[in-house]
Amino acid sequence: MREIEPLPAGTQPLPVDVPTTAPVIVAEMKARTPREIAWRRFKRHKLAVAGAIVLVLIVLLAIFAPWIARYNYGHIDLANSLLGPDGKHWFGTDNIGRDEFARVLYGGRISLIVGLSVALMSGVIGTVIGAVAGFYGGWIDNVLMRITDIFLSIPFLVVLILAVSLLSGSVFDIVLVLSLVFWMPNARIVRGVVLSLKEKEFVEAARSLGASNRRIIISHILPNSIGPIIVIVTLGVAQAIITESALSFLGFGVQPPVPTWGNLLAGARQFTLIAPWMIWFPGLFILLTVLSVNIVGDGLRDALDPHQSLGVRT
Amino acid sequence: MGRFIIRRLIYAIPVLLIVSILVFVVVHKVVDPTASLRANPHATAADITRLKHALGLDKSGYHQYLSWLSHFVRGDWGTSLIAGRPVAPDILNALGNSIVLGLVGVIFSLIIGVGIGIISALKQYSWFDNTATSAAFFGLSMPNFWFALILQLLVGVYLARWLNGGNALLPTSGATDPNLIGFHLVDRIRHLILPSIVLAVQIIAVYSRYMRTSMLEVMHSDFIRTARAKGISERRVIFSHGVRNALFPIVTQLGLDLGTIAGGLIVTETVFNWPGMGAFFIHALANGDYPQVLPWVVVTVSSVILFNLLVDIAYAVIDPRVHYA
Repeated sequence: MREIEPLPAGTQPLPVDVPTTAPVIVAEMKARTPREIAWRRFKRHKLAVAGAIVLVLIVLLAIFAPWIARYNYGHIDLANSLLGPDGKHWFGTDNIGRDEFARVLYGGRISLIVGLSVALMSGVIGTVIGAVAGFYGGWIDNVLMRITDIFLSIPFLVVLILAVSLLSGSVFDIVLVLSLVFWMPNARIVRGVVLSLKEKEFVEAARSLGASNRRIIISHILPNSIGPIIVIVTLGVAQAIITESALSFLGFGVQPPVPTWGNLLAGARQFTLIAPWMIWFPGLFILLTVLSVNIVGDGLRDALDPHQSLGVRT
Repeated sequence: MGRFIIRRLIYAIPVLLIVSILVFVVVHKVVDPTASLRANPHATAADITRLKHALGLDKSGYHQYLSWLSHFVRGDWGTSLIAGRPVAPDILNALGNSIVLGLVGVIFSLIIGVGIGIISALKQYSWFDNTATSAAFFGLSMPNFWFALILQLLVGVYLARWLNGGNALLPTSGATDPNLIGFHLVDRIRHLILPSIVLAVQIIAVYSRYMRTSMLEVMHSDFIRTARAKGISERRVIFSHGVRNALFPIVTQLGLDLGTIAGGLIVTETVFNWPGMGAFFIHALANGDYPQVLPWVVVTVSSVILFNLLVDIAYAVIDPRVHYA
């Protein structure tokens, strides 16, 4: 599927019947693959590029935490507890003298891993269920959508808290439970996309050539719905990071001593008045990460899936 | 229409049953209400057995659930396992607090959000629109519990030190001043301000975005061009024709948001010690107090279902194109 890139701003559009022999114009009319078009659209969205850079920086900080942080995140130093930020401890220290900078970086590892895994897992579950429901329709669709309705009628933080309290609070459990709550909106969106795609001519063409349902879904429908799916997964990362930190903050998420941005804040609560830096830094990292993920997600939506835009930026 | 409503109400019954069974099973599995007695070194095994018998915990889970259900449908909401008090007044009290906070937050957000959305749409890409867009991004990305903590810091520490000699400008915790007896409106309002700001920030972000999109779409439609062509004043075009039609998607969102008020705001209520439904749930769950958790779930879920239905009905009333069989 090839598309012609629209002429750059300022160029007069050509009437259709004018021969395109003028050399300058021919160069502009070069056909591009959908991926090239999307990439060009994304690059035009300056804010999204900035968001992507910030995000890459945060991810690098988390990955290289052992080399960047001067202290071990679990190193207790009671003589230096509750110190404000200074040249040695950039983000200060906590109530038992652990270096907050190291803890925020290591906490970022967990929070980012949880966010990414949940987004991918719920993206896969949602895509499979949405595609099956949308493609086959009938009772399958009905059953799947009723289940979705039931889950959506309970506030999802409640579902999470109940589910988490059944499990142990390891990182794996949290990823599992969050994914089980997050797939439902994804399934709805993918179902909608598949419903509209399955009526398209190219699906009919594939069927007339004898393609099986499985083959039609995997080779024809899914590749064409990849745009919305990428957007869902990206925005899912932001949602998952916020939700994980809220859960951990309430004491139902990843359990200490494993640091995450959420349980760092939970631990800081009783020291709000005497050690406000323990509140500021983990929260700022959550805000910065979620903000840049959301901005990148919005840029991707403009680039890959222009019809879905909420009008956040056009 | 009548049949549609009845069908939806009947459909709610199995949903409530399934949800309450699931919640009962989980609460039962997770927490042991006799834990505090077990931890007491002076308590003998006989004491624990006696307590279990008194609470009905020695019967099978199946029996406990059915007994709870048969009482509940007859209007008896049971007694708390821990406090030994009837559940109904406590829940109604928490519900009242959550409704006050929720309504104040939602109504303010509705007015501000819709206003921002209208101006953004009418002046697309102006500095106002761009600022509103960035602000909405911030609002949607802000972890609400952290925002609540920062507000407490600002009002209770930084501004207090700077403006008020160290005394907090506004109460940062609770719904009333424990030293005051009786109802004091000013005190209530002062306690409401911070939690409702936290609630409002996110709702304003969502509403202003929806309103902007919807308003842009409406203002580009044919009936607006017709209205202008008839020579109606721009004011009337915008308000009587534009805003009225652009409000439809907001009505949906508003209905859904109102439905979730009854469940309380778990995070915000926890940070501000607001004695609402969210805090009630966390507390009851931590104690394994299933007679408290189950009515909570029924109230919360019923409210969501009821408001979903109201949204659909409201749609049929305000939009003549919608019909239900």
